[in-house]
Amino acid sequence: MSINYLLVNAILFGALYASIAYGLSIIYGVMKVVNLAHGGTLMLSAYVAYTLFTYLHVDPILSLFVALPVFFVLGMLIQRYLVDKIMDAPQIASLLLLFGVWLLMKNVAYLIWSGDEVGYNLSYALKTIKILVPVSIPRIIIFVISIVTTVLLLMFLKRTYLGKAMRALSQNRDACSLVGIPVRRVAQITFGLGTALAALGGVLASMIYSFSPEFGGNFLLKSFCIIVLGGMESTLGVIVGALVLSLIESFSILVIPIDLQEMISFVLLVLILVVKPTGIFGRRATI
Amino acid sequence: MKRLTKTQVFYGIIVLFLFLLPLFVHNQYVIHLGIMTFLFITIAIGWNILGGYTGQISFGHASFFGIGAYTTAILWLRLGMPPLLTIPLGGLLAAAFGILWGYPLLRLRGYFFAIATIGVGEATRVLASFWESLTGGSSGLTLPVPKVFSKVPFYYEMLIIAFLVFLLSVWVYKSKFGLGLFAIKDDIDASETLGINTPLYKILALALSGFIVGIGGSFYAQYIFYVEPGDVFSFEKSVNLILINIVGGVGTIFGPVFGALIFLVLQEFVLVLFPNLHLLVYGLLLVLIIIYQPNGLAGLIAYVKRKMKKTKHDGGT
Repeated sequence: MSINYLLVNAILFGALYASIAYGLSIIYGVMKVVNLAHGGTLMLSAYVAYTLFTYLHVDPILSLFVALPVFFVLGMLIQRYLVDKIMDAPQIASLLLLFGVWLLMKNVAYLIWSGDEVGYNLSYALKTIKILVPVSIPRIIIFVISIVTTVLLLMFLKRTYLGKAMRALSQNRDACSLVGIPVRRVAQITFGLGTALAALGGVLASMIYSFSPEFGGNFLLKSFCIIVLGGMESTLGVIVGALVLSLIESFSILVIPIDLQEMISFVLLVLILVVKPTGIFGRRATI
Repeated sequence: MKRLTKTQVFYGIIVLFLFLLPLFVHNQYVIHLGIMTFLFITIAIGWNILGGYTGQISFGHASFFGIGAYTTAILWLRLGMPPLLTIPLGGLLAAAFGILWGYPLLRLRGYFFAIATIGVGEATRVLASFWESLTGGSSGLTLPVPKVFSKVPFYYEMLIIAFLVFLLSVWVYKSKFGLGLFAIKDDIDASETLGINTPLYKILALALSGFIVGIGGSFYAQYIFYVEPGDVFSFEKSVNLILINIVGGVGTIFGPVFGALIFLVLQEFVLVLFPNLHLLVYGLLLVLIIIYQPNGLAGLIAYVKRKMKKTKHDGGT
């Protein structure tokens, strides 16, 4: 296995990982809530893409236009009717609450799609383009969409009023109320945006992975590892974290057995939490 | 001799009833339910000492259960040790394992600890499936089933373990050590200022918690005669422990007992009718309880008691 192959692989996966982690990162950054339902959203959105493709022959890219608004609303509802009710309770309550939501999502998936492992074959899945090494088309599409998402997200957070309000909320919630930012509204939109971003990650992942209702747990842990690596609260940190994780995973094939690969994100998570809890940049950046 | 209070007599009768039960009930299924209830009570109490008393929520307690189970399976199969003797060893090994990962991870607060424990659980399971020479890999280990097999000795064995573990949890709850744990849960910075050695307290709570769950796992292996990573190390096992405690009442003495009872009734009688809905029921329970009754059934009972007392005092006004 050539170094080129591993490198290209790592960069492509890094982009996918980043787009999967944005949703978790933005909700944590603004609201200090770890969205355990993130894994469930990834899984459900993968099924949405699968269903649209299998029964209506809608390309997963087009299904994004259905999935993102739907999951945006779902996220807003979760915030409005569930998380908002316990914002004053100890932090851990929201974690358990959202874990409950994840279980609900899993059961919904079992009921609708059964527990079988599914996936779908895109007509262009086997075509490749040579970028140092042959790369399949879906993986290039995933890469491009991830980059576009990143740019849009950064612009949204830096330029728009809403984006600025979110960043303000991540810094000081009370001060935001004082200056007249509708805190609850912004929190709802944040949760909606985070859930929609998770759905984006799920649809992209569904193009190259097969999945079942249990899908998503692994990526939840990976996403968490990524945002911890990146210092918890910055979009750029997520990109760096995602690249670090994918590089380590990719190159680890040279030294450790593939069966143990699943453990890498966890070991990395623990190492970084213990050695340098502020992330690789060593200071808390803002989103 | 001190006079017993009404409540003490009530508890005494329950315990006596449980000890006499196998004498007049010969239905194997009932005995089995009893055994599983005691087992769940035991491991839920184990979880509660770390999650409820100390406030460190763990999603990785299946790792202790699995280590207890595998300790028994391996010592029994490979070294021919009598299974009963392996129970304390299973507990001790689980406790040692807890100290090993707890030492770095317990520095983390709140969420971070909780999420890291998901990793602990998963990593342990992956490792157990991978290490085939020791654990038999993902196909597991089958233990020798004796020719004559009765569930009754298991019933007494588990009843005694559950009883002792319960007494231990009451003792911890009332001891100075327990007060320290609750102080850590309420405000770790303040308890540090008050001179509580918080790292030591937390790691002791984790070790004790692991020990108890390890004992449960060890017993489980002897009772089921089969261990495999996908069962004893499963995420579902960890989740069940959380559910039981949330339903019963996190951080209370009776929480794990109530929770385990409800959980078993749910599992054995309600969910068999709707086998496709168990996650839905668990999820709904979690969501509703966290929002409306964060102290679970034990909290609800305490609330009702308070209310009743109040109306008594206000009587006639």
